[in-house]
Formats: sequence, structure tokens, C-alpha cells
Amino acid sequence: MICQNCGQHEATICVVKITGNKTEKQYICQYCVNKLNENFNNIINPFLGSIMELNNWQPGGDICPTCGQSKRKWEETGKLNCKDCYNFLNISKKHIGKRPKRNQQELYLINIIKEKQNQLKKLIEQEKYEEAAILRDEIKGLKENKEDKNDK
Amino acid sequence: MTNKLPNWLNAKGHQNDIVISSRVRLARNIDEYMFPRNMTRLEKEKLLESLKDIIETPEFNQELGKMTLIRLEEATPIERQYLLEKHLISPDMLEKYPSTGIVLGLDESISILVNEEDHLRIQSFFSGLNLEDAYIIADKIDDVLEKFYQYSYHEQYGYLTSCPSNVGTGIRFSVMMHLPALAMNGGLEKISQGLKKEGFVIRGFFGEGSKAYGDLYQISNQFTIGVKETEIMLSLNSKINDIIELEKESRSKLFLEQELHIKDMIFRAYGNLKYALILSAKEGMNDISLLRLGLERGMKFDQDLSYQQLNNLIVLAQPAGLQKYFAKTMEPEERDGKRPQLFQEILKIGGNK
Repeated sequence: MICQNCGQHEATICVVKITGNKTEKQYICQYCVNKLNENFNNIINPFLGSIMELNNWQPGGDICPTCGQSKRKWEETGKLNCKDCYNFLNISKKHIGKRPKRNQQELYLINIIKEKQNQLKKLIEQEKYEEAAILRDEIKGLKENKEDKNDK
Repeated sequence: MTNKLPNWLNAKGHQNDIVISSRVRLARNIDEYMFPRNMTRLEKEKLLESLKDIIETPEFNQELGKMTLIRLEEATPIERQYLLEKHLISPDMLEKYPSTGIVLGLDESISILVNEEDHLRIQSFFSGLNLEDAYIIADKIDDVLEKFYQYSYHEQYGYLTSCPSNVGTGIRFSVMMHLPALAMNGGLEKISQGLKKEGFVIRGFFGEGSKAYGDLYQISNQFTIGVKETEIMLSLNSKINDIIELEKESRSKLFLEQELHIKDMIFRAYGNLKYALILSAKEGMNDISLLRLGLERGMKFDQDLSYQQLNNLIVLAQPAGLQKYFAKTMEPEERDGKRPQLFQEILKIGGNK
């Protein structure tokens, strides 16, 4: 679709302007988005265009299996219906900020357990059974610890 | 429901002559539900119920004190409008209020929106320039809530949000500033372009376009992914300090070059508020802006003014604020007739004897 504002470039973004009960939609190009930014109160973040691609939404298979939202609908509103809709987006940036502490703790335990299990395997191979028994109990304790955290 | 004014208006923060308030918002979603726009009413109610229980637990109270859940459906239209005018809920929420709620702290400086665009929106407000404290407390609320909920979190994309423009940290910092001199000399245009290049956006607090009425502007970050919360905070903080400097320079220049003219405008604004019989919110806000400028420049009026009085009027002059103040339902025309009394009482001026 050609930009409805300048009629020159390919429209890449649907701008939705909401005033009271009225909803205005316009398909426009990136150049116009930049220009219009000051005038529109409710605008889809123009940065989205630069960091996200929607190409993943395949023709024919453009419905999110979890929530049933279509590519078209998402382009109209700029909003996603469920977390699985993210499977249809390509975001070129990676999150580097805060992460849920709970997951982090779990992840940490899982990694430790994995490492200890490798050590245990080696000890058994080397026939160091006494040391292996101590390590086995330690792993058991860590696993219980992890279950406790999950229950909370 | 509380009638008192929120803490962020108290003008006790840093740089309160130019910065009104600092605010942080964190968007969070819970893994077991679809995003609110795709939830059933029953699911939304279940989430509201769970929050109601959580805020009663000792674990929650110890960390965050007493907070109250207000279901927007149970509030009157004026109360909802008042929450909007205090910037606690979004305009969107005013329309789609069924099965939404706000968990409110005692001084209204912390709050949690429930079932808005995202399941949870943690908000913290401070007066003046104080992004650090606003962030620390929002982060703490997040830590507490995380003990009760499994968040939607993606290893690469971070916290998942209904609008991809919030994905990653889910954080939005915003600072409300009073910039009359930069609005007058056209400096805002250049600032706006500079901010945009670095991922920040400036918009009018009231109204649209480059000349917002009341000269109140909100500056916030656009990027939420690929950059750490504290990095966004520090870079916004330094931008705000730059803008404060520019505004002060512009004010000095304005008073140097057009002293008579600008002082005339300011005294007329004072006179207008003192003697007006009919006053629109817009006119009142523009007069408040001039008085604020005069106060910062050390001008004396026949009644002493404070930033706190002027800040309070930003909220009270709005339709619901006015009706709350007089505890009376009023039509727009009646409100304009009553508004001068509000201004005169708050500022302790009044010429209509």
C-alpha cells in the first residue's frame, strides 16, 4: 500500500488517532511518521519500525495459534493479544535490564545442579564412590531447595 | 475515596521551580493469562481478586505499607475523572473501566493499575526532579509483586507487554516541566528534535502541539529494549538538567530584553485571577504559568505565592478537581463561573468585595 499521506512511499505503519469516541486510521510511510510525530498524540512508536519487523507473519499462516489474532488486526491496533504473538515479531534488540529474580534464582540452581551432576559422573567413572556419595546427597539437597522455591 | 491532593504536587522536591514531578511506570504481565485486551471479564475479576488478597498479606504490608484497591466500576464518573486528572489512570481506562482497578498507596505516590493495557502497571510519583527515588520504589513494588506472580518474561525480549513499544524493561520515566520561556522563544522546537535523536520525546501536558497551554511539558523515554533501566534514567536526568539550564538562560534573557513587557503580562495574570468572574481551565492554567514564572524571578505580589499553591491548581482547576473541591456536581458553564473562587481561595487573593 502507498502512503496515504504523501502518496510517494510504501506505507509501513498504521497510525491510529483516538479522539474521544472517534478512531482515525491512516496507513503511512516511515518518512511521514517522523514528520507527523509532533501532531499525533496517540501514535505507534516510530522506533518500532526501526527495530522490529513483521515479516515473520507468514501469508496464509498469519494467525497466532494461541489467541487467534491476525497480522491485519495487529497492524490496525499496534497491540498484541497474548505473549505468543511475540513469536511473530522479529525484534533486533536484546533485553539487557532487570530480570525476574525468581527465574534467576531457579536458573542459578539448575546450572549448579547440572554442573554437580557432571562432576558426579566423573567421580563414578573414577570409582571414587565415597566422594560421589557426598556429592549425590548435596545434589539431592539442592533439588529439594529448588522444589521449595517453586512451591512458594 | 480520597479527596486530598497527591504528593507529587507538594513542590518539596529538587528543582521544583521548573520541574513539577518525576514519574516511573513499569509494565508487567502475568504468564497464566492472555493480555487484558483478550481476557474475559471473569479472568479480569480473578486477577483483581488476587490483588485484593495480596495487598492484605503481612509480606506486602511490611514492604509497602497499607494500600487500597479501588474498582473503577464502583467509583462514580467524577471520581474516575478525578483519578485521570491526578494522572493516576490513563484516558483509555476512563472509557474501558469495567473490571479494571487501581491499588493506591496512602499519599498516592505509589499505585498499581490492574487490567489496563497490561495486567499490572506499577507507578511511582515524586515531586520535583527525583527519578532515582521514583525508580527505587517502583523497583521495590515490582520485587514484592514478583513473589506472588509468575511474570511473562522472555530471555531475549525481556518483560512482554501488550504494546511492543514497551517490551524489554517495560519502563517509562517521565518528568513534568514548566517551560514558559522556551515556549515563548521557540527553543522547544530545537530541544524536541535533539531529544528525539536520543530516544526521548517531549509533549504538552495539556493539549497538543508545540504550544501546550499552561506551558507544562512531559519528557519521557521511547526506548524500552536494549538499554538498562538505570542507563535510561541517567541519560534522561542529564537531559532534564540541560533543559533546566536552557530554560533559566531563556528566562534571564527574556527579563533582560523585555522586562516591562513580561512583567506587565505577569501582573495582568495576577489581576485577572484576582478579579475574574468567569474563568476557563485553559485561561486559568495560562495565568498560573505566568505567576510561576514571576515567582521564580523573585517578583513580589500583594499576597505571597508558593509553588505548592500553584501546583495544586494544576489539578484542582480541571473539571473533576473543581467539583471535588466544592463537593458539588456542576455543568461546564457553572464550573467556569465557580473557578475564579477556587483560584482566589487557594491563592488567598480576592478582589471582588
